[in-house]
Amino acid sequence: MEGMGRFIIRRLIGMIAVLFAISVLVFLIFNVIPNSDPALRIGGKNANQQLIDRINKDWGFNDPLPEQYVTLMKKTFTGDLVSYQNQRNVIDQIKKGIPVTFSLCIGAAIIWFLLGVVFGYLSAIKAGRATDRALTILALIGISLPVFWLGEMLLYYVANKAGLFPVGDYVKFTEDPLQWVNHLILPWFTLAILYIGFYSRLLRSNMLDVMDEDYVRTARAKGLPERQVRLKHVLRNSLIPIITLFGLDFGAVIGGGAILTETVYNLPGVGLYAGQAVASLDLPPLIAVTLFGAFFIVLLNTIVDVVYAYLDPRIRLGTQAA
Amino acid sequence: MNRANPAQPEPLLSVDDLRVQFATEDGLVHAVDGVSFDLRPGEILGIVGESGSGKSVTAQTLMGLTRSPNASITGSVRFHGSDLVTATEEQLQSIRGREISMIFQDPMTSLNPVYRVGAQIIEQIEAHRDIPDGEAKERATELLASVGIPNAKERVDDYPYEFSGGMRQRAMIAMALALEPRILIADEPTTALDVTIQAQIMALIQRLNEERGLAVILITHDLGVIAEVAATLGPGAEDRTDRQERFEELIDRFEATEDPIRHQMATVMTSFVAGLFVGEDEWEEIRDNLDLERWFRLPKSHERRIHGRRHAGVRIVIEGATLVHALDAHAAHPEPYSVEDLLPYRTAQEPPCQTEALNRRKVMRKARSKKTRSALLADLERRYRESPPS
Repeated sequence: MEGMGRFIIRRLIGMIAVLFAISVLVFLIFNVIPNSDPALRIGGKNANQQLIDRINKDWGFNDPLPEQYVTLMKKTFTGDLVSYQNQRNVIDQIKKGIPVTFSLCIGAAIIWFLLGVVFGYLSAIKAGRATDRALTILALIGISLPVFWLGEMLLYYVANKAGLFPVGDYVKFTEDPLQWVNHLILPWFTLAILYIGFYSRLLRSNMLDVMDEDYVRTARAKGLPERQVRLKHVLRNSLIPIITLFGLDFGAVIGGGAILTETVYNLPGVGLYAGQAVASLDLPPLIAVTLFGAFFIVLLNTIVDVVYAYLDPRIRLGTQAA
Repeated sequence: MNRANPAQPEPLLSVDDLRVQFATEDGLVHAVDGVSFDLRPGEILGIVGESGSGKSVTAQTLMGLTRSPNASITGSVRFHGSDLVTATEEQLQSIRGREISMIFQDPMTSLNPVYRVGAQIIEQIEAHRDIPDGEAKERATELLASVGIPNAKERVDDYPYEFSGGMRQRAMIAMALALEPRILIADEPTTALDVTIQAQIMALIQRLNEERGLAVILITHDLGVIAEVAATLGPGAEDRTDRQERFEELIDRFEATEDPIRHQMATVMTSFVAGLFVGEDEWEEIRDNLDLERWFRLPKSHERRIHGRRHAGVRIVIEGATLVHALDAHAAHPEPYSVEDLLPYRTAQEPPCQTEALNRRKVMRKARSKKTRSALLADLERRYRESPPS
């Protein structure tokens, strides 16, 4: 697999370039938007001019921008990055949030992928019939429900009134796996429901297209049972674009796409942290969270491409652009 | 193979008044309208017709591949004492690929791109026989070698995209032959291939017909293909000069007809079939009674056959009326009939109406999902791709 090695190296270089570009962008934008002076944040509400000046000097906010950028990046990668707002170590905060975000996103992703495939498959093989119609309506409803609304509704009716699940909060898997699941079921479905809708619709239309392919007719002409034709030939080929989308969506959700869900359910994940950083215009967490998100999006993208090459042998990694 | 009694072996497959209709949004489409023919062991049966005349639908209906809630199929297809029109899906599955195999027009799209060629042949074998993987793979390799794939041992693990068009069609044939079926339905097997490859594929099909006594239904819009098959199978008893004269006379007659499509097809087909390969007596009868309507709507009782020592021949069926002839494969004539005589009449490209017919077919197939595939959804999906929600 010489092509694979070269591909990975190229992707790594690409990843560094992407992360660099994103950090520069965030840094520059932060510096031009109004009311973002970090010295004011560090000094607190009652800071006088002298204090501000001293902070500016001590923290190097008077240095030229490139120098400030380099310092910031150095701190990011040595783990010394500190929030302007509350002087807490940013990297520690993110590390704390990672298990929560991963628990939420991985669980939701498994749910949305499996249910999306099952519903899409059913919808496609029953195309035009009652099952299909019902699933279509469900999918459209799922797509139309905003996460914050759905989350609140579930919290109020299912968790609060019916008392089926705990109201928000997070329990570590290592502490109590059952409670971990119990606390996460509502967030999982809240996050997944939109994607279930999209994936089932997408898979349905992919499958209907693939069903018209000549090789499906060939498979039938061979005398294969209909089930085998559908699973091995139709579904297998229809899944290829779905996998791509899945990788991208999963990366996006980990890299900050779960903000709303984490906020509604009060899950102390990276998304919630990112939300707070945005609200308080706090540069260090912003940069770190953005890099975190971008890293996962690029990483998942690379994984998708490798999987893609495995799923569709016509694609060769060596010839693809980084 | 019942060669000891060449006079009239029992038909292998007997199609009687087959009709296929599709319900579409534009109303009922009569895709096949009353086709009848018999296929005998070891025979090559040519089905020729204009694009959109229902040749492929006929072929696919024989194997039950056109069944759908929107299709109405009547008539009968008798095979081995059962009627394939009314057979259950399970019965059809056991016949498909094992008793009757099919190869299709476009080898580029007929193989699943994500599975290895060998695996697709193995899949066919294992669908009908309970044998170990290793054995099935050996068989697949043998098959590929037997249809002329070089290095079959290595190529068996190739993906379809690593095969050329001609090789893919060979692989399709290998797959079709995997379980030694009695009947091979070849639906425009060479249309998508270039001319030299076309000849190789046809030669392969003929070889299989001769060596294994495989009965073939050959579907094509291209008279040249039929001409080549007929040419190799053997000429009629006439000498060249006679044929040439007949040919020209027939062309003159048909060029006077009004209907353009009928004109074109009639010229080639009737001159070819009727004029070139019949005995002197019959020729005179044909010449004296030539009537276009009758040629095209020849009732079944008028079907003519000449049976020789060996029952191999080409008959041509057009739009439901069985038009004519079995050729005597081993006629006494030493000089093979030259294909070049027919080449000026060969349809080099598919007539423009083919595209329209194809489109119509696509629309028909999509009809079932049309309502749910609404503009709303398309719009939603596009918006989703442009800006994924967070």
